[in-house]
Amino acid sequence: MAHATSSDAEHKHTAKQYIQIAVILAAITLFEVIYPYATNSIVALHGFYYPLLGILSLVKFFLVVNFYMHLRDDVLLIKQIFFSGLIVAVCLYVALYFLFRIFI
Amino acid sequence: MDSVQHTTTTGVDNRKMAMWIVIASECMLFGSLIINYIVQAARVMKLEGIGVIKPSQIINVPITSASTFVLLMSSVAMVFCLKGAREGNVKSFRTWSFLTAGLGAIFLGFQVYEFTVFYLEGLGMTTNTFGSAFFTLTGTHGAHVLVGVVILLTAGIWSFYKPLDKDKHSPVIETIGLYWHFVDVIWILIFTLVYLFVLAPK
Amino acid sequence: MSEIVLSKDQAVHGKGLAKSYSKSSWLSWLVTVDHKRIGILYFWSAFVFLLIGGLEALLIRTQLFLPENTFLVGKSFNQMFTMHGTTMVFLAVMPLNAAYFNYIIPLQIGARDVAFPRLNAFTFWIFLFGGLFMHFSYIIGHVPDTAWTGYANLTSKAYLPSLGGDFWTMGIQVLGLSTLVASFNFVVTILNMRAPGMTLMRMPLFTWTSLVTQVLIILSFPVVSVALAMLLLDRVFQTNFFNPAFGGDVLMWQHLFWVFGHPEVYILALPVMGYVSEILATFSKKSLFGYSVMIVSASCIGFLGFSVWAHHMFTVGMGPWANAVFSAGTMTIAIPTGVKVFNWLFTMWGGSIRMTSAWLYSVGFILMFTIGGITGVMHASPPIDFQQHDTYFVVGHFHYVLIGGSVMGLFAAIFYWFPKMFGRLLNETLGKWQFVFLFIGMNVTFMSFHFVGVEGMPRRYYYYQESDGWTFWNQVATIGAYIQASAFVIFLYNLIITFKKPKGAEADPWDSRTLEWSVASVPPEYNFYKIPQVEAVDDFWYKKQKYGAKQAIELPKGNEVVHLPSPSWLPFLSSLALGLLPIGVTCYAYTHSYSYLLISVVGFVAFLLLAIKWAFTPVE
Repeated sequence: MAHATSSDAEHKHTAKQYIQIAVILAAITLFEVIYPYATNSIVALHGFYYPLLGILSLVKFFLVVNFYMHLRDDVLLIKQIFFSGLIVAVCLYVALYFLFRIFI
Repeated sequence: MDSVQHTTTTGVDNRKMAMWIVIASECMLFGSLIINYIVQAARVMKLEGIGVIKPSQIINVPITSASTFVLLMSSVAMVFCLKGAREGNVKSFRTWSFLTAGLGAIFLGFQVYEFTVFYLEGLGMTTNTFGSAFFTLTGTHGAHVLVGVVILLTAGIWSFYKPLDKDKHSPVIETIGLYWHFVDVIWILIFTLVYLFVLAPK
Repeated sequence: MSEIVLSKDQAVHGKGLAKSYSKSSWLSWLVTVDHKRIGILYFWSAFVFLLIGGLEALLIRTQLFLPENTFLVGKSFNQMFTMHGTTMVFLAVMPLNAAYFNYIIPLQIGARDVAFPRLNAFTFWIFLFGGLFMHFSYIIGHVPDTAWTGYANLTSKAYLPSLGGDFWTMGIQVLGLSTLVASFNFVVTILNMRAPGMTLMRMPLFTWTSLVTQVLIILSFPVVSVALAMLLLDRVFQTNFFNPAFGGDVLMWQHLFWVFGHPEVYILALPVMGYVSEILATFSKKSLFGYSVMIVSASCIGFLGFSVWAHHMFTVGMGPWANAVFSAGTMTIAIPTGVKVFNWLFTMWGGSIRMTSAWLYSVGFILMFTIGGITGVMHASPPIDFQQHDTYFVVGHFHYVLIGGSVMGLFAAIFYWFPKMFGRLLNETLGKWQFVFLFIGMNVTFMSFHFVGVEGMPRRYYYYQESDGWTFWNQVATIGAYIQASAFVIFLYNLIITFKKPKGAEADPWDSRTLEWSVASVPPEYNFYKIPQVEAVDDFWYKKQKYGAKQAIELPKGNEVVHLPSPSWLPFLSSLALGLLPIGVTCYAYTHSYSYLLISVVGFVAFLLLAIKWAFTPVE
């Protein structure tokens, strides 16, 4: 039996670190918004559009999940719970993507 | 909110574990809504014809970027709200919880504005399947934000009436925080898939 | 907190809205948060729905006794098989499993209650509301007739104009909410409320298969919720998700429904596998063969169950690649299932068998589930499935796994845990006769289905002709159905004479292996006088061998104060409030008058206020 107190792990991060992450999130968002307008004319980059923006959104996703939701510092069980839901959802998305033949 | 039990087999608070399980479940909920949107939007993109409103014609990225930024900042506010609760600092907890709720409400305001504009431009829930899927997806997300705002306001108002016990109440605030951050994280995905992808070069 | 002194059962005094009702008052059932009482509520409600579903089946079989019969035709027939399927899946088998999740899991892990007792009560009331809401459709004559799978766009307003579609959609939505919320509760309970020493690998197998079941629920129910919401929007608010004329895609319904629907059948089967594992071990006087392998197999079945849904859709034209992938996955699931079958057989091999009714049902389960599984693997091949799809062959398959599997397993559980839940043992002779009738009736009916299925008889048809050549097996099947019905009559008689007997069952009538048998039959409200210190898997059996049978059984000794959750009106009232939402939408759907939506708004606001009150009312 273990005591259910807030895990000490969360205290690892200081206010400063949270603000740093906030700045990174804001910067990525700014980049994401400017990017399409700035690069529309550059044909060479067209193929990178979807993957780049997809990856950036995943970076933001995991920054918030790992640091604001403290998943990084939490016990394995919590990670298992979250990733089981996320992975099944992603697999469902990919499966239906191909089953409906959405090849954009 | 209380739980009979104070020691747990895994060491994780019951309510926190329950919220993570809810989050796993919500991954499937939003996953289904998102793939449904993508299928419908892709379908409409391929339609020809006058009067067919396609995503590229109506989606407004700059405005939504502002609302995305607001929601992102509300997540930061939530982190500080939890920090205040953990330190037993009532004023900090209260201020940040109202700030988080406020930013969430501003986000909802943007959503209402966007929905109204779309409706006036001719895209309603029943106009075409893109409209149905769009409003269902963003509407469900908005409903989740609304529930979060109500919970945060309740928590903030409660702090006027009852003392804040950092050991007793931090797990509850942490649980609320998990919910709020997850709602933000879903929006991060929606923003990219529904809005940014519309600007993809042809 | 309710503080009680552990010497005898007393009325529990609570604070807040709930006064202290004596245990015998019916009001105490409305405010109970005791997992055992909630389990009993689920049990009886589900049992009534099981009988209703059975009557619906008899009506179907009576119509099909004769070719071109006029007993129950057209829409009425369609309504019958729709309600039969929906009732059996959502209102009978699932809540019967829920009855055992509720009653048995906390006892098996050495806990006093579940993690969120009021939420637990809430899930029951919302389930009951959902079941009654759906059956209200009978009362006003607007019954859904689009099968339990509700395929779009047959369920659209255009093709199903009656309110039956709305009752069905919202009814299942509400039932889904009940099941989903309950699953959160059980996972937290199983992971977080185990007695000291009860590691995951010392948990009884029923608790393990329940855990896997809850994970399946958590991940599959949201998907059907999305599908149902889209259907409701189509029907009531004129969206076009499933309307091909306006760009909608009927296939999206099928995918979303079956992504839920396939895990759903494992949700129906896995708990039953848990019951059977424990019952066979008890009545073989041997520990379960391959405990860890059984757990791994159950988890594999659960995991793989998510990857096979489109085997229900082989004939829609997904293409050979998709068909092949889903076919391979479906065939693969047979492997862990087969492993379990062999483990059950090896559990019995060399054991000292006692052929009680529970044991008979468990063995019946193994046989029947295997047959159902074999026909399932046949369906797994797309070319064969093109022949079998939408024929009676499929109906034969799933009734073998559902009646031969789930229902027989449930009867095994009923006979096994009856003394624990109700303090009396069911009559064994009647139980065995019931088994004989059910076993024979079931095989007569559903084996016949395979024959007519292979001969091409389509399912969901109210009518066939003499020239089709299906008459003989249909008549045989109907006779089998009535034989099964007599099994239920025997069971009802068994219940009546059993309840006439006074309570007096001993704590451990079967010489069992798990912790729930270490406390009195019927357990006291607080479950365990002292939370057990678990030392091994099958801990109760281990303690009996180590300390002797008498010592291992819990006896209350002195005065110890224990804290239990107080009874509360909040779960019942919240369910009523939430129930106003579908009522308002139904009224709106019927009248198209927006003012009826106010009912839903009022319900929602009431629910919100009650939820806030709930959040700030301590559970103790």
